[in-house]
Amino acid sequence: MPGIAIRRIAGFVATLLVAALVVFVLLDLLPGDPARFILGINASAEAVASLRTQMGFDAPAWQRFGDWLWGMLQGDFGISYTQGAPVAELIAERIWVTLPLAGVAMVISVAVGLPLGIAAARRRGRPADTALMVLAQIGIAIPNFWFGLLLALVFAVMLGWLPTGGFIPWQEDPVSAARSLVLPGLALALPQAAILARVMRTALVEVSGQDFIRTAEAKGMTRGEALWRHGVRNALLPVITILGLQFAFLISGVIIVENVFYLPGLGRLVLAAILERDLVLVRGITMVLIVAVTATMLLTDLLYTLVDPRVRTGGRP
Amino acid sequence: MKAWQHPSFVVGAALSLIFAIVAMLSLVWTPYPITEIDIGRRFLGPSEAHWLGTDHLGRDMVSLIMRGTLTSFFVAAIAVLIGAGIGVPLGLVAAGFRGRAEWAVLRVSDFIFAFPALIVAILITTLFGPGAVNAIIAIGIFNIPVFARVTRGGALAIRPMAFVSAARLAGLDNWQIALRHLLPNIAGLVIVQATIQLSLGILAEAGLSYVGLGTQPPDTSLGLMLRDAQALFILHPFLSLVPGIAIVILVIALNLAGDGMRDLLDPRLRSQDTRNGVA
Amino acid sequence: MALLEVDGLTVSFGDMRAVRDVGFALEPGERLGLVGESGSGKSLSALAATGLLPDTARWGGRIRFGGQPLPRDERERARLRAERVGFVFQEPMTALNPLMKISHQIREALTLSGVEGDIFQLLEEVDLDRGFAERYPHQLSGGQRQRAMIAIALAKRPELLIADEPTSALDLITQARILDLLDELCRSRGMALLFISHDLRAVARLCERVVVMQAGRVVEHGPVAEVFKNPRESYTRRLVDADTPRLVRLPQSRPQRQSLLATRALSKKYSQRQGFLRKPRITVAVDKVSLELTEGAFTALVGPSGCGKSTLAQMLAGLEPSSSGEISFLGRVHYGSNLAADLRRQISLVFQDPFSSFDPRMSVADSLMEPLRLLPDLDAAQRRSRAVEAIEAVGLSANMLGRYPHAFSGGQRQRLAIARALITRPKFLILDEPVSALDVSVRSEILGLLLKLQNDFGLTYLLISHDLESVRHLADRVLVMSAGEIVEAGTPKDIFDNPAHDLTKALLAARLPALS
Repeated sequence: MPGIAIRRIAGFVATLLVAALVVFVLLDLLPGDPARFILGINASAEAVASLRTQMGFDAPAWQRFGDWLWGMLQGDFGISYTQGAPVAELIAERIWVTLPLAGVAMVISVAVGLPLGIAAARRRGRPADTALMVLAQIGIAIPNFWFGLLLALVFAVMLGWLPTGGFIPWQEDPVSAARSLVLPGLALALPQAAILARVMRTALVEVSGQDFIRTAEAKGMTRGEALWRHGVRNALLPVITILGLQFAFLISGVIIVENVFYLPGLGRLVLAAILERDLVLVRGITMVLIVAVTATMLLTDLLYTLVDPRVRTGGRP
Repeated sequence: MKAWQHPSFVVGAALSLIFAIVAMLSLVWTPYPITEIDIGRRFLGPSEAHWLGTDHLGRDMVSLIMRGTLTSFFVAAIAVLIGAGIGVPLGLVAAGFRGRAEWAVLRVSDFIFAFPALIVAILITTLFGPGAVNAIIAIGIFNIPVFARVTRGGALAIRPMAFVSAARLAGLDNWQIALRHLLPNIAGLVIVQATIQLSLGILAEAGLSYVGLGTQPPDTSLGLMLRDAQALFILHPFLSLVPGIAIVILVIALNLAGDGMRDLLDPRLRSQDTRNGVA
Repeated sequence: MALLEVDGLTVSFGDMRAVRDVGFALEPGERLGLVGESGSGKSLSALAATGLLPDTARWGGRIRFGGQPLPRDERERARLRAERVGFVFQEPMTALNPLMKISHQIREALTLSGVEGDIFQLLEEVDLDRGFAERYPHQLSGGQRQRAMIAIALAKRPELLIADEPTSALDLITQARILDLLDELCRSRGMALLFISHDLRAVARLCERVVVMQAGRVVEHGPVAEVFKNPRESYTRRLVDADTPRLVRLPQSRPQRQSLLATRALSKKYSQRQGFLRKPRITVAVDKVSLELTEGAFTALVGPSGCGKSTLAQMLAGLEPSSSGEISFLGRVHYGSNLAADLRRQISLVFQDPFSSFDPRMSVADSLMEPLRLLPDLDAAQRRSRAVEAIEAVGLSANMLGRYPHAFSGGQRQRLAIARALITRPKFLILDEPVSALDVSVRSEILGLLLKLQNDFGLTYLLISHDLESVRHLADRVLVMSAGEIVEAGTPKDIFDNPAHDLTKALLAARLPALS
């Protein structure tokens, strides 16, 4: 077991290193002269030269890459030249909108999706199953940001229960901050829940045809009990596999949904940085997003190992 | 089971086809030119002249939806072609040759999964500015590992079958086996996946265009229509509802077609109910 | 009063009636065999009797357990199973929950039945070491899993044990041990047994009475000795006859006694990489095998599962590169791969599973003609006539060439597989368990066909088989393989009458006595 964990973590680190290299090549080397790229064609040669020195663009590429990596490890992501502030600080301010939103959405989608999937599988072919799967089919097809608009229209504009948008920082008014995340959280979670419900149902239906379920019934369980005690845990394996991927979609979703609700998170920060050609800021945020996605995949991998003894003891080729 | 006995497949395939035909029609004809701006007739409700009304620039919504569907379809379809064009050969190589080739393909797919389409779009847009091509590339890259995995999984299930050994005995090499035996037997799987990726691509295109990383004016897509409508959302929610509903129906149609095809192609799932008893 | 009474039982899936008007009864402590070929409805009848049918099945008829009708309520039926009926299923690899330790799975059965029991004692009763309690199913072999499954069934101290083909997924030696174990447990516990099998000998070994089923109906029933000795129905007679194949070897004229194939110290090792840095684990599948096959000989290769006989065959066929050692075929040396076309066309293989032997998307003609790429000089007409010749040689007709594999039965497919193997007119044919996936009644037809073809075309055969009975009748030389090595070789008479190696003795001892 520790061997597998170490291998997974090594793979995680390797993925991050290669990802960092890709980001670096794209954002530092491809633009040619980053200083010129930032300032535009009309800038004077002196201005470009001074920015280049100031940003450390004179050093050879490999050294800049090393410095950037080393800096990130110490929490130094460089300085944003459009905002005039350290990137790490800008990210730290915004990440407390983005990550909680993604986390809340993930929790809601699991809490809603899995039980519905199980319920549907246990009532396979009956009206409740059909109804749930029709709902899921619609849920999967709804763009989350558009769903956000609909939720805002109903619950904020028409009913006035929750704010249409904006965000008051946690330290000033935690209740209001939490309230601001309810609608975007639901907008992100429900389409995801539809996907999870379908995967869970399919997995459980598949498992229910397997021999060990019949063994459980032969032991003296009803079909429902056998599915519940033996089926669900086995059916969770494919679900865990896709949870990692789901989180990647959720992170993307958060970036987009922040725009619907005017939430000051990483999404709005990065979109502004793109418009202002703030390479250092884009680079930093991209890395943070990649770390979040990759770390979640690592966690789901480890969770899988924990649930399935065959992986742990090397029984599966 | 025949295709027409699977009602949800018939509905899905028919709807998808209608969308595709209407989208293609917009190349040669739309009720009004989509670039025709007429502030005087903006925010019109549905009427005989404008079935779905007009937008904030007085453009005909039906025309916009037709052209927007075309763009969405186009972006998603090219992204599927990129993903399948690269992913399917990679998956075949992984399953056909095993060993190092397979290891490399798996590591590359794992790696690409760390780059959701949005992150790729962010990187490309930063470098080259916004455009529909960014969305195509970003979604296409994300499709590659999806197809590689589906192909590899399907091919690995076929490979241990005796007829593959028989082919090797007949002197076929790995490439010939991949093309003659593996690919034809997993073609169904790949087509089903392509349908599903098409629907996911349409959703992704909408998201990217909505935040300004995808399609740009004067062209239009379903996502871009939502972006245009956002500021007016409280006053004119209809402008957001129409393209949104169009996306939902289109995606449902494609998913129904894909799921139905899977049922029709996979005899195992069909006979599952009787399998553990009759033997 | 009968323990289990089934009367007028029907089971159907949609329009398909899988079981029709089946009836049988079982007294306490009695052992009843249900025999029949695949699709005869024997498993479904047993499942129906205890309310274990799949959701999609509909059943009707009268089922009484201990004098009481089978409860309609699902929970009541579950309680009946929990307390009174134990089950052992065919597939030990999938019948246990892969995520739960063995001890946990046994304890669950104890809890459900409300019986006080000791897990270790149960393991002991099925001859499993205590250590297995803390293992997961994938860490056990097939035989060990089947023992664990029996321990689970015994935990509730059942009055009736239902065993559904409990040994057909196991090798010969393990099968004999499991049958002995079931026999002893029924005796010591006074337990009734409903034993479902296609293997008449296993039924004769364990049961007092037998019910013969065909196509969902009971065709004959009665005491085992009577039914198997004097079958009244022709179907039963066919089954009994198939048990002792009357294969007549034709007198052969074998002028040449020259060597066709020889191996020298042939080995195959697999290295499985555990991690990037760790040393790979090496398993030796075939260990320095040296053997010689003479032209026109019929050699059989026997051994327990996992002894390396299939790997050896793959190397001889040129499908698997050897790790060391060499193969000399027709006087030319190869190493198990990259054979020249003119050598490859002299070797063919017939596979075990007729259902996966043909690409479902290719017509029979295309599949049959695939090996003809090894003979590039043939034109289209010649290729076609080869295909016709081959399909007629195996007793099928040329108008079947345009069909697709799904249109053929298992026996027909195996004939087609033989036709494909013959189409290049090879000298050497490897037969990898060619009949073990077929129903008993068609087995001897296929074996007879193989003998005829050998005679007609002067073929050299290497037969891989676990069926010692047919080996004895067919082969003129037997090789016994164990743990990658050939441990004994000789004529069938030598081997069967005077086995030298322990494994050979064990294999012979594991044979079930013939019916007559």
